[in-house]
Amino acid sequence: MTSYDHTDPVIFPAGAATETSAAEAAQGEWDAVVVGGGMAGSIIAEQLGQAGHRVLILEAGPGKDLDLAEYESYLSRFYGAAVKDNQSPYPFNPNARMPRSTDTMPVRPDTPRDAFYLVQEDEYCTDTTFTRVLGGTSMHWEGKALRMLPEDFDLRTKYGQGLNWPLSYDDLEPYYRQAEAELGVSAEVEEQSYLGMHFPEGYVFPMHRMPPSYLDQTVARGVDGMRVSLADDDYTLRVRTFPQARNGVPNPAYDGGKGFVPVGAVSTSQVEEGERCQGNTNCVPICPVQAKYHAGKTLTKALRKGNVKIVTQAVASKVEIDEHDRRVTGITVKHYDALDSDRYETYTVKGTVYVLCAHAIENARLMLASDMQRMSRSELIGCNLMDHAYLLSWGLLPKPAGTMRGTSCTSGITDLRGGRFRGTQAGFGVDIHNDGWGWATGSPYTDLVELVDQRGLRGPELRRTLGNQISRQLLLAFMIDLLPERSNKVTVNERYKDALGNLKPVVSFKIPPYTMRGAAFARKLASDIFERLGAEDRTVYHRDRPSAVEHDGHWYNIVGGNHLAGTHIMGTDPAKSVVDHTQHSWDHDNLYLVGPGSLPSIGTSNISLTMAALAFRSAGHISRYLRAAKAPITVRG
Amino acid sequence: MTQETSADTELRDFVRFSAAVTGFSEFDLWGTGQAEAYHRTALEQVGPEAVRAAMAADPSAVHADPVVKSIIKLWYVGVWYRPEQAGRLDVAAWTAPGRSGAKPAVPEGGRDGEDGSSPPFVVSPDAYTEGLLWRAIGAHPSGAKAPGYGSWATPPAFEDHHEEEVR
Repeated sequence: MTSYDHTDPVIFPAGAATETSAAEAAQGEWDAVVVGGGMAGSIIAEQLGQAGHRVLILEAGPGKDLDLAEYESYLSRFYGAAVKDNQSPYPFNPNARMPRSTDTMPVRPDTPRDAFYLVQEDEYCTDTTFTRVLGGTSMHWEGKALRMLPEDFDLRTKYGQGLNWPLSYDDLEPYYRQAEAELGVSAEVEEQSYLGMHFPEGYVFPMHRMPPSYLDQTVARGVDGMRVSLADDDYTLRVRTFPQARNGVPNPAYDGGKGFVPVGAVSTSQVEEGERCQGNTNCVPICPVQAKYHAGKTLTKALRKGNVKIVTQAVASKVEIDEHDRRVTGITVKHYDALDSDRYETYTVKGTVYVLCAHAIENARLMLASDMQRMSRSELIGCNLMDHAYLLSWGLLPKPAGTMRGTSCTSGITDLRGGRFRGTQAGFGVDIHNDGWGWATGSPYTDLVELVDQRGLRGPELRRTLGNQISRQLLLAFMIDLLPERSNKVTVNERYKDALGNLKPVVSFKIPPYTMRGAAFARKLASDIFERLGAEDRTVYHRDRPSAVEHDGHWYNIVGGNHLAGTHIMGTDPAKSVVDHTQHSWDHDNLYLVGPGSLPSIGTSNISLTMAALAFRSAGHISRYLRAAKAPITVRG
Repeated sequence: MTQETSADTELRDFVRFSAAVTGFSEFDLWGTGQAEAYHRTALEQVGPEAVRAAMAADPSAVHADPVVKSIIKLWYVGVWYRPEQAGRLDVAAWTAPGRSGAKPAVPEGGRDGEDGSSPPFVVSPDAYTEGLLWRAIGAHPSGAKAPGYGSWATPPAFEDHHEEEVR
């Protein structure tokens, strides 16, 4: 395993984002060409760089160094944005667009061609997103860092549902620890040892758990000890904190007593910020102090090595394949001049091995746009698209509970993530949202409009009523498992192209009945919890929204989780999967597809920690591949 | 001694009126540093006559002049919602920070009013962080003025404020 020298300040090498021109990159001969400077790409680049390989990262996003000034411009843009969605901190970039939840609508023949990036033609549309800037979606992720349950790895064998992994929990366990070190996870082993999750003797997380919010404590008073009967089994619920990739109080017992030094804010000069969460209640869409992990922290380490280079504003547009031996011969990129210009030049960069780390939708989109499906034995590129199905339930507590304070979410209910009921219905985790009803209703701004405009409140009464009303809000977000389905997929269509002429992703995504059975159960559970808490249930679902789903005669709104996965699943059979257990393409010898697209199932874990663990594991395999490729050929007699 | 200009007087009147309708003291309002910017915004958006008429109206009436409602919301969240948008929960939802499950679709770059007039806007990045809403709810603006590690674990405390009748 890699050793980390956390005593070094995290200083981004000034000029690294722009010093390598696309032309120079195209002239070079690289050991590895990595597409995407997000979490997976940064881990792969850092690990391969550490092993002495020459690595080129291609990043579609804007070409700015990661420094405090740039980061604060994100923050300032967020403060000043009229529409404050997940992508609001990041500049609009027509050359490498991102989906925006505000674009969520079915595309009709008369929809303006520029009004969207993620093309959806069905009635049901997902509002899921991913971010195309340096650091990728880790810039806006919330930071929950749950391991998958041991039973998630053989769901098919255990419960006759979904797919088995070609790996077990124990195979991945050491890499989970490596990912927990890299991401800086705050949690307690005693609290996380449930439903079969186990840790080596003496292991502790790098940092202690985030303190549960007062809201969590309020909910726990009603929920702890609550009994639930499901598929002939009884479950006892309790409120438990989530492991989070967010800096807390370091655990002195970490690493055999060596302790842990959190990685703070990234900049081109030393800054004293981000070494501990300050409670900004803004994990999504941006942590103001960088106490939350983002891939820039890993990328900085990678770029400091000298043998890792990056070209920004370089949109990978085609994977070039040798028709004869099916090896990848290069990645063709469109390198654009500026965000406000569609001028670009085309280059082809070459390496010994190619690693696509552009996230589930972009990896699939790039391969499909490169006509690689016809070479795929499984023909599963872009299929099995998964995302957690979120069902929201919201109520008003009898007394102020301090809502709108803390990290976005500190605790939840995780006892129904696993169990025999998964033979018939999806498991789920429950988040207690410290940020109130915002996700469901647009609170607290909608409360303001309601009180001022509709109820005519003024002065001290307005002020007091707002405080009383918002501080009592409780939002439970049920994060429900969604199994791989071939028909849930990313495709491309010549009709839909972006400013650079690259094909846009076309997504067709429906919520399967297995998931909806879990959702219906979740809805009933929410009502029971509200009743125990004396909370007034204020949940309303709207059947006229693109998120509406009917199940058993009832309508629900299922919103996206930004946990996109499955578009190049791993398996043991080239006819039924796109990559093997090392994320090595079955069909192209020098190609690896690294990222959440490789996950054959997502269970009830936010995908990033598992994706990071898999990236660490694959980095070792890619390094071995490169060593073999570079070794002198010996002929055995 | 400098002579107080009529512009100064108008600004003072605006702040005095704003204190009555928001429930915060004049001292609090001056302390946000936003008084001039908000006064200017109101004048630019609806004109001096409409602002004067709003300040003369009975602020306690439920169906008060919608300009009064725009001014209150401006102080609370730093967003100028046009008077015609009063009561629009959908417009409020997509200007709120946080995730977007409830937010209706809006094309890139903000949404124009159906009648072609300007969409709501945040007066400045500071206007967001200086919103009175956050103080009213015993919290801090999402993404700014962080209260510190672990502060969320304690019961909420609301600022003790003087209860005044609306004048």
